Amino acid sequence: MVLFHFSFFAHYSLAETVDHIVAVVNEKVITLTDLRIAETFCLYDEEIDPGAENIHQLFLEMMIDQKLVVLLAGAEAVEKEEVDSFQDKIIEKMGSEELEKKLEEFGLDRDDLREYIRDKIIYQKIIKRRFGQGVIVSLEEIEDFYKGRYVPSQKEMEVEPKPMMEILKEIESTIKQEKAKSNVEDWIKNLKTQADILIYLKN
Amino acid sequence: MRMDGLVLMSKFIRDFSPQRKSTFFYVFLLLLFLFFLPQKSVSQSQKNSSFVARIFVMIDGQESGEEIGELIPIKEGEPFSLKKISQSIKQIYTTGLFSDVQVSKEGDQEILLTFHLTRRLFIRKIVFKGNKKFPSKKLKDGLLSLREGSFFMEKKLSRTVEELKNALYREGYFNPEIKVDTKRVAKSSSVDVFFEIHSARKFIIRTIAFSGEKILPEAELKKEMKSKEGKVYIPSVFDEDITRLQEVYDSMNYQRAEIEVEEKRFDEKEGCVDLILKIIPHEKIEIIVKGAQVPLDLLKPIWEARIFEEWGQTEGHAKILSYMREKGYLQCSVTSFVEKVDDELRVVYEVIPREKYKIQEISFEGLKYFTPSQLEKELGIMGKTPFIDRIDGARLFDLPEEIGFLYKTKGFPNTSVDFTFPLLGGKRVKALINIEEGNQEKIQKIDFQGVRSVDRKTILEQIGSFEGGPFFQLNVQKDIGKLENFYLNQGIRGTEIEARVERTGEDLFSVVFAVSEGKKVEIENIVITGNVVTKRSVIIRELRIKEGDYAFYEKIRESKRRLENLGVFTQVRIEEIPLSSEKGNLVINVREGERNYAAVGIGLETKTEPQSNVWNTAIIPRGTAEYIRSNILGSAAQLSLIGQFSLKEKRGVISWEQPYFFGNPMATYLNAWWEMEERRSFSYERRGISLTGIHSLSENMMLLLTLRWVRTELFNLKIEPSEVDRQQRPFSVTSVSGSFIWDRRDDPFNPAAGSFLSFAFEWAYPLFKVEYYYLKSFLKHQQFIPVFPRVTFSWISRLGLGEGKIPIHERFFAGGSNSFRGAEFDELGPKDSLSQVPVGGKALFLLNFELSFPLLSAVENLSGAVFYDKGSVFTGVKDLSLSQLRDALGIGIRYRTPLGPVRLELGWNLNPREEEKRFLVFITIGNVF
Repeated sequence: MVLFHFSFFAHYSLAETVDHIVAVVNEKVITLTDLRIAETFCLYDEEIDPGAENIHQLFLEMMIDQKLVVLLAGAEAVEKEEVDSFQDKIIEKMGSEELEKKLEEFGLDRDDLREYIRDKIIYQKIIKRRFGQGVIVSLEEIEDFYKGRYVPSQKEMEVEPKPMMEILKEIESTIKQEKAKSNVEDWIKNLKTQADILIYLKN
Repeated sequence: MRMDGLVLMSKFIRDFSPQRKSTFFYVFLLLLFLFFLPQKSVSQSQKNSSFVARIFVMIDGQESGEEIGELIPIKEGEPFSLKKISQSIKQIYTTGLFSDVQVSKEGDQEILLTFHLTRRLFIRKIVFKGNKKFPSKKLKDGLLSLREGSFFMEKKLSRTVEELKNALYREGYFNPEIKVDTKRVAKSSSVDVFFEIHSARKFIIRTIAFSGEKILPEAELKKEMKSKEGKVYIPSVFDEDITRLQEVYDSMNYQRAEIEVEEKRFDEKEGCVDLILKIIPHEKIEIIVKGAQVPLDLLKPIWEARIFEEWGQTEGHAKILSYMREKGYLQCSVTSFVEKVDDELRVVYEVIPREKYKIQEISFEGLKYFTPSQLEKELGIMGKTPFIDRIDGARLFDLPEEIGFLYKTKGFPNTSVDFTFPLLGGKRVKALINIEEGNQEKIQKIDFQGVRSVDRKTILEQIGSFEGGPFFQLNVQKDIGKLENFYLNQGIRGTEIEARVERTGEDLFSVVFAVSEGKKVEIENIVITGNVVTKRSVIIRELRIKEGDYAFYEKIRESKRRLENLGVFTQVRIEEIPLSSEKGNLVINVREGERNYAAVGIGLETKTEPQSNVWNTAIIPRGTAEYIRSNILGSAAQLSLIGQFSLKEKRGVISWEQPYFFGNPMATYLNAWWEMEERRSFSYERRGISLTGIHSLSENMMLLLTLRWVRTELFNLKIEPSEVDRQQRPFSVTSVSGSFIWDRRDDPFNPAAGSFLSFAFEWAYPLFKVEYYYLKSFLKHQQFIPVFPRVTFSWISRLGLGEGKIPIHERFFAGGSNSFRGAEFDELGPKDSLSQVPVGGKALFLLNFELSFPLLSAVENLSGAVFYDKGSVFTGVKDLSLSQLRDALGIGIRYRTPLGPVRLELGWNLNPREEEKRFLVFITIGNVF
């Protein structure tokens, strides 16, 4: 009797959910495993702060955005070297042994991981091609930034603000980045309004 | 369970004696050690050694033995893999049958996996209920996330409520309370969605006011609006009012007027709303065309938006020139200027039309690559046609660009084209098109890299380009598409093709297709989903591909077409789900359509035959009722009941239709019918049964075989009893008939080219004690020859021959708009000596010749026709004599419709007999048949 109980509990614990749909984007499924792979292999470190609150939600939103853009792009050429380079960065971060261990946990091989990387690169390329150029910054915008944001921030830090002409390039670059980011957000927001997105993951 | 176990154990220990307790304590420790020892070692090696011991599939909480298991790549006995579980979820979702998939596991080493699937439901109907009567159609239109017939997703319901609120708002129902309820339809995968709407409030328009520069008096503006003070405020109507006011201002030349809602002031207490519209008319734009009659509607849209004036002027010039050239003013010129006077913008186009010409001839100079007729054909220029211009002036001016592009596709990148139009005399000109072809660029060499699965000759045959042929970059791109398709049809997936073009000499190029061949994919499983009623074997029967075959793309497409042609599915989806680079599953997802179809129709018919003289007709009502039950027993068979009723005709038909006959692909029809009809010479009541099989020999060739038994009773005979062998009692005919049809017409409803040939025979034999035996054959040939563009010459020849005892209703009759247009319906041929009504014959010979031609260039569907009909019906085959044939000549006009031409024809009987009309008028839909 005792042995029976022991052997029973040794083999079967309560059922746990191992995977499920977290979102469906235009009929394409994103699973919990996809989400965990993205998190584990630091696929979105450039886009998402690892210490951010509600990180799962941010990863999911990022994956939805990526799926939308990649579906829109169709066949987009990605060079082998581009994937190699991204993979090398992951190895650098995780270490080769840890990478292999994590791959094994998911039942993945390196080629599988390269598929995830490939999608990420396609997303980046499309965004870069669409919004990487052509952001124009006017002198008025630079002036507004200087007066409205730069000078107050310097004063807050009790630092003497530099003359505008000295930091013109930095301000222009910051505004360009902000505008490009805002353009990307607007574009994806617009894509989302036209897409069929179902989110299964609860906050 | 675990707690219960521990409680039991403690009780067990308490019940033992101290000595035994001590012994037991050691045993317990040992067991405890053993328990944790393997646990630890398992957890360390678990990832390597854990495997899937069992897989369960639960659908809506119930265990399922469905084929879904085949879609799960992970199998019992295999190592546990999150990747494969994730793949499984995606594959299951792809079937379209499930709205959610979750996977749970039990155990760490011997793992029990359970796939929990939630069946996806279809929305059968959407119902709006509540304390008011809502405009259901408009509300349904406003629901974007929920449509009848589409998938039901519970997650979308909250979005739907918002959409419904918006739709209600548009229809004037404010702040509604909406409750959603769903009800699963028993024994089906459908759901009904109920929206209960309460407390939706309406507001009355208290005032409508206008701000800004109105120009028109308020009363006049209000008169244009459907929204009225004192009436219910409906935002959708109010939006339409704004559009209407915009049109009013537009008609007053304020094309740039802006009309917007400035304020909507709701008085919740009074239930009223005050509406204020702001009007900014902007400048008045007057467009004046001097020197020619040009429709202003052509120019107005240019100036609606704020544009650069220079662009507006140039655009206007182009539109005016194109319009004038189309009318024949080939030398027309336009200038323009813009004036600003106060708030008015005046755009003045000054047109100098010059002479109007007709383009009589087209000729080309400098042609080497094409002959003139080849070039005309490539450009789609109409051949010489009496009374019709081959091209108009606007097209003439577009030709240089068209010809330039055509030459580019043939490898001439630098072709230059210009034209002149020398006078031929009078107002006629010749379009003389000068072409300097330039050098042709050619493909010197075509190479393929990376092609291993096929030989060079085979792959060269797949592309349009060839060595020594013209080089044009776009053609190379098309070749890539053809090659990709070729590989798909070989069952190969993942092929990537790039083309590299290099210049190898002056005007010479080499093209290298770099092919990275994919792998041949084998279909491991064919998974059929979505068939609730339809048998799996019925679906499998239509597939041109089976498990173990390679994924031949064309065969998969053909399978899809065949399934769609069964007529029982509203949607057929075939998806290839890769399992590995060399194996895949084929998931066939079907959606069965509504199986019951009922229809009633009411119409009018003429008392005489519909095709006969239209001026002397009485109109009587007629009706039809139809019920069809399709996909009976899931076999794709169909049962239909059809009833037709009118004062002169009654008919009831029960029909069974199935796509196969004892396993052979032959559409089979079993019909049983009863009918009663009044005809010119007699009336009859008839009942019968027939079995017809249709076998397609090719795309346009088919064989029909019919076995038929008919029992007929004649009455109201207006002919001599001698004309009918057994008119006083019912008689029966049992016959076998066969037909061969070869249809090569370009369009069965409106043919302009091609031919149609049919041959039918019928053998009635003395079986089941029937009284009649005869042999009847009928040959028909139609030929349509396009003489010029839109001009067709056609003829139809018909020969019918019969022998034996043929009852009157089985004899040949002719006369009317579909056979001989010099006689009324059935009136051609032998007649009863006393009553002079037709009695039909055993031989028929008919010829119809017709020339149809366009009447107006602008109305393409309208054509004229002249025709000549010759033929007659003879009492017996031996009476057939060419000298006895009758003649009719006529003219007609016809208008093409998707169901065939509507024909108005005037027939002239060239040799009328006594009591026969010389002229007859017919109105008919359809071709002469």
